[in-house]
Amino acid sequence: MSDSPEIETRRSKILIVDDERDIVEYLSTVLEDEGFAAVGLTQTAGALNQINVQRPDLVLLDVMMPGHTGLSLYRAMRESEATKDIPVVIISGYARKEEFAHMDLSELESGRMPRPEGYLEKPIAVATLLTTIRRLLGRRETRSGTA
Amino acid sequence: MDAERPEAERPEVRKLLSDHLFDLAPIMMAVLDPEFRIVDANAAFGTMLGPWDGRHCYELLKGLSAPCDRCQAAWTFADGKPRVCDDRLIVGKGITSHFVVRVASLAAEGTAATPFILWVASNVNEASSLQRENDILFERVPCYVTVLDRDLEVVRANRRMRDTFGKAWGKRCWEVYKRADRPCPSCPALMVFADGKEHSAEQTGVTATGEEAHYVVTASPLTREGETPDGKVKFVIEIATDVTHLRTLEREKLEAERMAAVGQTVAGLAHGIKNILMGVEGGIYVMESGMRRSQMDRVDRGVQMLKRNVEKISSLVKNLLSFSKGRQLCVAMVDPNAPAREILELYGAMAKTAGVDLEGVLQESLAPAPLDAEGIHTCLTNLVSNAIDACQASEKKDCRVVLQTSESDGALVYEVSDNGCGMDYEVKTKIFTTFFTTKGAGGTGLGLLTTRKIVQEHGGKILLESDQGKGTKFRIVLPRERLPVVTACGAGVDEGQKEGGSHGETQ
Repeated sequence: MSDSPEIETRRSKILIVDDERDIVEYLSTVLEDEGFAAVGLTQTAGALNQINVQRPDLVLLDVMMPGHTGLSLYRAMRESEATKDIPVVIISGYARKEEFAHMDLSELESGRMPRPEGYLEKPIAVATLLTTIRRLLGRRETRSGTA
Repeated sequence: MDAERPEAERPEVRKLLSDHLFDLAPIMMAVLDPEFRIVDANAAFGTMLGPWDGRHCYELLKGLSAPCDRCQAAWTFADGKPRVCDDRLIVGKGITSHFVVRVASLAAEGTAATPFILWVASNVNEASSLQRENDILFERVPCYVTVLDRDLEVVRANRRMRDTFGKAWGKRCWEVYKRADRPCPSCPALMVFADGKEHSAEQTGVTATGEEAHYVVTASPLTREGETPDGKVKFVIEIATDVTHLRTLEREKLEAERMAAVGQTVAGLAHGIKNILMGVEGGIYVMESGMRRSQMDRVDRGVQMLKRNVEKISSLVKNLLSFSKGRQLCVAMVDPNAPAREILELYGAMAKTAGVDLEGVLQESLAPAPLDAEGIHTCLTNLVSNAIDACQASEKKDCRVVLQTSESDGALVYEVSDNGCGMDYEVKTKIFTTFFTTKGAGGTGLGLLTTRKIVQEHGGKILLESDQGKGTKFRIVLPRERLPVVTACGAGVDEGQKEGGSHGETQ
């Protein structure tokens, strides 16, 4: 679907992890429409492996997921040399820090782990989503450009 | 003639008295100067204490080298007022005895200063001294103290009792304490009269000013040995400690805990709704963009998304209704094992089909307790069905769920344990705090929230032990003293059942 001839470089790839299938579908559709390559996962099992294979430019991650939760995946990503520099945007039904303490997510803000690059509270407005992603990818481009 | 003689003799009698009364008095008398030196003493004083001339009262009477800390004589020297006190004095080598000591100023008429003090001491024996102490203790102890006869009539009541509950003497204890017209059920005093042993109970009474008073009362036989020689207790002493303040604090704490539970529930709910909302927004986005591009497959995808999320909303609403149904507890005195038996019956067949062995270990003869039986039923339903699910999620062959009831340390305990898949650390930390489900579309995340809410409304707590791969154990602990009171609804149900009518509870 390369209906944007002005994009000559590789499309940025966004990986979405959320156990809500409809949210994955929604975000994937929006991102594809906006010219990104989107990969959706509805479970965290095997997600780290997928991230290694897919090499996304950014990960949208729901931290409140059953079983092997999003938080564990985030920790694993930060501990792995191959994935630790991929920007992560946390998507959650909880507003940031005030509620994180109740949800046992204070680890995210404790400084024991690198902080996620962004937070988006559900429901996420399309404009905010795109601005956040473009800002983070732009920063990354600049950084790798100067390196 | 007779009238004249005393007139004539009076000065003579007075003279004789003033010369001899001092030494004739059968009680000890002494005169002290401002340095507490004994300047004169009567015969009784000398007989009892030996030579006194020039000695200080504190040396001779107390064996001290300096005046006493709280010297009555010093105060009387200061203000001229007479005083009386209990004291122990040395009356021989190493022997002390109890005295009532009086001091009075020996000032000349019309003068303000006190040059000397008259010190008078009368001996009291130890028994009467102890009696005095007991009387003071009985009167002043900060408890409600009553002595009851076999008709439960108050024969003595202390000051705190009278001040709080009004005149008690001659009335029946239940009239005084409760303004009731018959003895309390499980009256501790009646139990003492029956078996001669000590009994306690927590009671709620009504004060003279009409306020509710909570107290813990201990009734004991009023004898030193614990029972009277003929084996019959004649009097019971009841000592009650007021715990109204404590109970108020407890109630407030319970209320705060309940409010906190509601807050957590609402936060969890908001999270669930946000997810659905985003699904709806997604459906609209996909459908609209499909229409713009005239891509019918996209429109269809959007519609499917909308449908799924509408379904989620209706399922959530149904669950919310059942969640809120428990808002008003319907408390009646029930056999704590009854809800457990129902669950075992209800889930027996289902567990068998699922290849799970469901076993009940119920402690017999648990005393009835004020419970919302339907609420407890819901809690056990949630825990047992979760346990069966956990077994099915495990690959073990011989899966087992045990529902146990017991009572320990004054608390009712319901325990549901399984040897299923267990939970890892992160699941454990989240199960009560979020709208959380590990069952995907099959779960609502409300089961344990509901369970915890009901348990908290019963003043209890729910505890979790779980090891991944080994199994899970939930314990509901309900301290009896924190259980709710029987509600009108509960009583209504009882009456309705007695009369064979249906109770008018609507849902």
